[in-house]
Amino acid sequence: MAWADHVVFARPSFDSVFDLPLALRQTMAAYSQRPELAFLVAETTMRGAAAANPAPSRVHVEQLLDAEIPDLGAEERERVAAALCHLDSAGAWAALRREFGMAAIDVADAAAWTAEAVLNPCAPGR
Amino acid sequence: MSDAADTAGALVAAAAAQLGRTEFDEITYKALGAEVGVSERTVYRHFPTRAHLLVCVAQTVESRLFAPSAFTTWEGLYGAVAARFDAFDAHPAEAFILARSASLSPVHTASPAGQSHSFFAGAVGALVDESAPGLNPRDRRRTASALCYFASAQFWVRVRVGFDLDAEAAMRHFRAAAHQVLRAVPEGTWPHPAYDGVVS
Repeated sequence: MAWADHVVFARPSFDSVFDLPLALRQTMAAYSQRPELAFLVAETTMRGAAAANPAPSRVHVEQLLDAEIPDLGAEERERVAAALCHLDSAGAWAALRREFGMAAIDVADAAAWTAEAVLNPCAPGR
Repeated sequence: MSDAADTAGALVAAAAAQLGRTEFDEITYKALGAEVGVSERTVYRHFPTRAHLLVCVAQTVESRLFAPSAFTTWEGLYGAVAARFDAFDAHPAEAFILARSASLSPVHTASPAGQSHSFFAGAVGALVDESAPGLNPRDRRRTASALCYFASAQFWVRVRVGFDLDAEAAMRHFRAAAHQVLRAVPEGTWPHPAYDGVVS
């Protein structure tokens, strides 16, 4: 299922971690267009050590954090990366759809809003 | 209880008992039927797909091992999440089942950790309502959903497998994420005593 997350749900490219919330809106919209496949991707990343990588965007997010916020402490870097990877996933889409019965537009809005909240203390000028 | 319900319950209990020793995906319907004393066909009648079985096993392990404690305060919420993450560390095979079940396309009318108005989501929603009665419906939904998602078995799996972290680290990251989410709601929405307790 990793191929589906890479190919069918290919992420929009972004060069700044602060663009991730906007990219998330597109990613969540893509999941909403293929819900059964999105649920499958979400489930396969939860299977444990032998599963598909549950944080495929980790390397990219950490590279952006290192480049844009080089003085971020190790704990804070890990916290932000973990939270963003958790949001940038089919699992986030599935949880928001199932647990809260959100419509596609609300899923995209909630994921992007939460990513902005996570990034807020790192934002330039904060 | 009917015989059918007894049989289904016995099959679920048998599957749940094998977790930790056998991967869920390696538990065969044939072996499960043999253990309970029914045919493979009978197992299929109760659980047409493995997703049906997985959801029922998840319900069993959640009620037995991971039932969240009741809470009506923010510290109570943090305590409930910490206890759940600790229990996930103690029973990882069962926690993975819970996370998988919550990520599935719904196959039952009742499923754990992934159903509208689950106990946990309801308690978080009530806490948000009580602490911030002036919050508009959209911010309320965004706040409650974010808190629930960072408190979930899926978050524990992601940080454990994707970041090689334990329950203590997962809890630190949950607290930090919750802190940021609560700070993001509009200024003046939280009554001061609750606000101080939540985000200080």
